[in-house]
Amino acid sequence: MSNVTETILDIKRVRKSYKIGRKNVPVLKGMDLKILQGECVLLLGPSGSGKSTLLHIAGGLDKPDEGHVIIGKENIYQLTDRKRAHIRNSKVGFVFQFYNLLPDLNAFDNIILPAILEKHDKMRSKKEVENRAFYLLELIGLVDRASHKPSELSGGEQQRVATARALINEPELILADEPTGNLDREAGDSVMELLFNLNEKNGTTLLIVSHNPQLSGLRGRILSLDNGIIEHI
Amino acid sequence: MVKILDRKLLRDLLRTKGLLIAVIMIVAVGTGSFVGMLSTYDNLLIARTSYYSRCRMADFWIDLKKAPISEIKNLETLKGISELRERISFPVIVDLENSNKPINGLALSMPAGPCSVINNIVMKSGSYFTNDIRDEVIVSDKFALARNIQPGSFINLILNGTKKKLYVAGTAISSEHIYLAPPGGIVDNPLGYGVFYLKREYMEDVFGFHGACNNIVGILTPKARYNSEQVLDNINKSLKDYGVYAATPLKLQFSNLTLSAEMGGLQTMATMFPAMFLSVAALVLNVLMTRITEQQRTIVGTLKALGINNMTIFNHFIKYGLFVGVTGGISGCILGHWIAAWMTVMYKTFFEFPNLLNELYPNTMLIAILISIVFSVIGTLRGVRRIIRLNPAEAMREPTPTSCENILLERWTRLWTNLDFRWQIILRSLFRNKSRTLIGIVAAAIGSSMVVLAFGFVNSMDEMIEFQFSKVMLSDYNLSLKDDLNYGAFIESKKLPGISHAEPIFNVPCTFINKNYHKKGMISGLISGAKLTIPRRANGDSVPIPPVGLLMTKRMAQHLDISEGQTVSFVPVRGERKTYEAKVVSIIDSMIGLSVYADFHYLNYLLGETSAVSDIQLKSNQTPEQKISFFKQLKTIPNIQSIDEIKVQKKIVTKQFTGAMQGTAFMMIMFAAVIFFGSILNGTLISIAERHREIATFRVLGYQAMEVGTIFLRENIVVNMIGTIAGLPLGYWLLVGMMSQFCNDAYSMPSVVYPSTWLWTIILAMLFVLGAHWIVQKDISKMDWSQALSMKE
Ligand SMILES: Nc1ncnc2c1ncn2[C@@H]1O[C@H](COP(=O)(O)OP(=O)(O)OP(=O)(O)O)[C@@H](O)[C@H]1O
Ligand SMILES: [Mg+2]
Repeated sequence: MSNVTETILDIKRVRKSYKIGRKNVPVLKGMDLKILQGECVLLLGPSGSGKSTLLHIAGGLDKPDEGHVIIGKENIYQLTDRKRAHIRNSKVGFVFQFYNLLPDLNAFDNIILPAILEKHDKMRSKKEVENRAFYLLELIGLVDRASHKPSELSGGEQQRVATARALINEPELILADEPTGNLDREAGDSVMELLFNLNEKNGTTLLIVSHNPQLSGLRGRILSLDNGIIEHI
Repeated sequence: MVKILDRKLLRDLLRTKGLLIAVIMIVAVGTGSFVGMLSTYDNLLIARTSYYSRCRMADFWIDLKKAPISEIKNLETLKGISELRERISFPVIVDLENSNKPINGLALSMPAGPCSVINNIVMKSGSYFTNDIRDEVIVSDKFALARNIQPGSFINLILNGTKKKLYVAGTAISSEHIYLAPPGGIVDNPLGYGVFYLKREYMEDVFGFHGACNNIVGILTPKARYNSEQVLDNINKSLKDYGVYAATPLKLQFSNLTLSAEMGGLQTMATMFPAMFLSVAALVLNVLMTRITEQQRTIVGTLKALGINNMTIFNHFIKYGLFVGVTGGISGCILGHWIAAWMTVMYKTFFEFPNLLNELYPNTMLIAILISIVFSVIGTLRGVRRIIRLNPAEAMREPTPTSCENILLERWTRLWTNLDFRWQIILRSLFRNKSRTLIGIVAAAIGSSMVVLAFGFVNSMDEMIEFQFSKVMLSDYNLSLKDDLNYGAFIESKKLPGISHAEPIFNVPCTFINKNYHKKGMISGLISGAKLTIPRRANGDSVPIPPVGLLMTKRMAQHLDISEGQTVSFVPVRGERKTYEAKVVSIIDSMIGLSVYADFHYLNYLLGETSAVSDIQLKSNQTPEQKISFFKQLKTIPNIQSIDEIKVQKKIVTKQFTGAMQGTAFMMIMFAAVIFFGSILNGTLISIAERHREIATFRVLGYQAMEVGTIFLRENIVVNMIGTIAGLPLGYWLLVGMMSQFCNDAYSMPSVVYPSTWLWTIILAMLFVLGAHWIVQKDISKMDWSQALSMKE
């Protein structure tokens, strides 16, 4: 949509290892990844290769042992917890493998959750938030399920609600961790289609990780993660 | 806008409502006891303050043999004295037509016309002296009610040895007798002791006290109130020629002392109880909150991932504690107001006030709610902080299950492999949830200490009564004589109907002096081998009366800083007031008063008397007819000042003290039950929820719900028995602390716990565990275990 090629996510020499028992197991061994605005990046890798770890670090959920993560212009691990949370809230949208909807809230409330709990630079009224939520419900095709609880929705529907939730604050970057991992083919396809459409129509930057190379309608830049290093395919 | 999370909160609250009610009950009892006891305290304080100012309550009392009124004028010039009033005060015997027994009383002089004197009276019925009749009396209200004496009727008083018929003008109460006990006694007995206010001129005539007095009450200047001892010392000095028996500042005046001790006890309990309950509540909430946040780990992780900041999440979970604090606090206020109403009514039977009301104290309630909120929030804090500290990625991951880790005990293979597998399960569960186990133990310890305290109150009371009435005072009747008579009177008394044994006592009021210390008291001369008064040590051993020297109560010895073998000086309030010296042979124990004993003949000899007798103790073996004629004869003996029937005294003391104590003890045991139930239900229901799958597996293997329940029951028995046993010494320690509040010169409460109390505490704790288990068992029985198996954790 735009021809400005600003870097939106810059991962620099990120290292991360976990202590398992008394052993230090390295997962990411000096990882570099640069994603430009409007890009659609697919990261493939076998189970246990560190995809989720990378995504968490990229989104500010987990501190790397070494290296930097820059979102927009902010070096997020040099910020306070509070500011980092704010960036997650306003600039990043997450889609998780297990949807992670709040079981007590209906679809609509789940969607607006990130918009109403924190203060925003783009001050929006309640009405605006609700309008956007309705727009998103329409986008994911679940307007008639707005008042349903997650337990009353199918897996695919839940993931679409989770996607809508990721979009409520109009983030510049969407990080999706195995968004179709728990869905059957058809449901998975509809979620992927939703994500790709966002990228194409709205120019939302996408970073999707999966262990499944058979992901439908692959497009964009495809990378593979193995042994803690990223390789281009 | 945060409403969405509140909706989640509401669901969380509803989901855990059983556990919540348990915690809220504990909080409510804690704040309830705070509000209840402080309100009762305030009720008493307000009633006392207004009563004292209404009656112009004195700051000190001086009892003396006889002083000219002119001397009062000199006293008024002493520094620190603002106003004085002299009175005539004598013991009297009441001869009621409807009672064959002579009754003791106190006659006090009052001005002929009503005026605002120090220690004034408040009329309850009838009128002040009418002055139409010379022989008028105003009777203390409680006695009049108990004996059904109406204004307008007549009563017979034996005044100075002669029977007088007096017209009852009215009934009245006075702030100096809020709590009225006969001299030497410690409980009030409206049936057996009354105050009789007589016109001053009348008393002057009857007692031969023209221009003289034997009692002075006074008000100090505001500044002098801080060192009343100094002023009293000066008064003592300037009155030394008139035989001062006692100089008592307000804080030691019996009525005020008893009321203050009770109020002090209330204050202590108002801090102790809430502290105990709210600590347990905080601990239980900690368990509950740890569980809730652990359950909602993924949700917290997600919220964090969505960029919701820690503060918002923190506030959300803290609201849970806030809810407990507010609801517990408010229900505590209601409970507290009710407790205060109950206690205030109870106090009305002891203490006589013109208006003792149960008021509402919004400030106390507000503080109570605040305290309950603080404790509840503190209780939630740890669980919330733990989950908030996790970074979002960690929070979203399932926690590394601890359930596979071996506990330390398993390394001791020999023991471990010999254990029944159910015990293995129990021990694993106890050691893996260390903080929960510990909290269960602490709660049980506090609960059991409360039971020990409750029983300990009753035990200590029983012990005091037992010690005093079955070990020290063994007579059936005590007669006190007006003047020191000679041995002859004592010989006569032996001939009274049905008397099997009699012993004389020579009581000598005096001032003891050692180094810089001095203390008013009394030496009781007992005949050697006395059977009716036996000085004892606290362990019950009798101490023989030495032929030469004194036996002194420990408390008196402490006042004088004297120990066994040292010599004490004393100045008797009689005769020429010389200083005598005597060796303190042994220190003894007494629960009532500051007794000092000596040999009857030694004391007589020392004071230059020959067989002077001031009191007579009698042992009887009477038929009812003999008893009636015994009392009839007593009424006619002119020199008798008071007559005490020990059996009746014991009955009254027992009834009054243990009666009130039993009510309090019952309440405390109920409170303890709340702690046990609350803590057990919380811990176990959470444990069941966590071990759903384990239970389901057992059920699949064919175990009955009952058998599965037994595992949890055993777990609770282990935890609660450890806690209960730990609570036993804690309870004793609390009892000692509480009882020290009730130790003063008039009486000292022992801290005694009978062995049966330990047993009862354990039995009760066991009953609480079983009671709580009954609810737990129902929960296990109705559990849908087949679903639990297929469920994803
Ligand atoms: N908190 C943690 N503690 C210990 N080890 C961890 C932790 N998180 C991840 N690991 C380990 O790090 C490695 C990478 O994990 P990660 O979840 O990033 O893999 P993944 O590529 O997302 O796998 P999958 O495709 O199964 O989701 C794995 O071996 C995992 O066991
Ligand atoms: Mg993963």
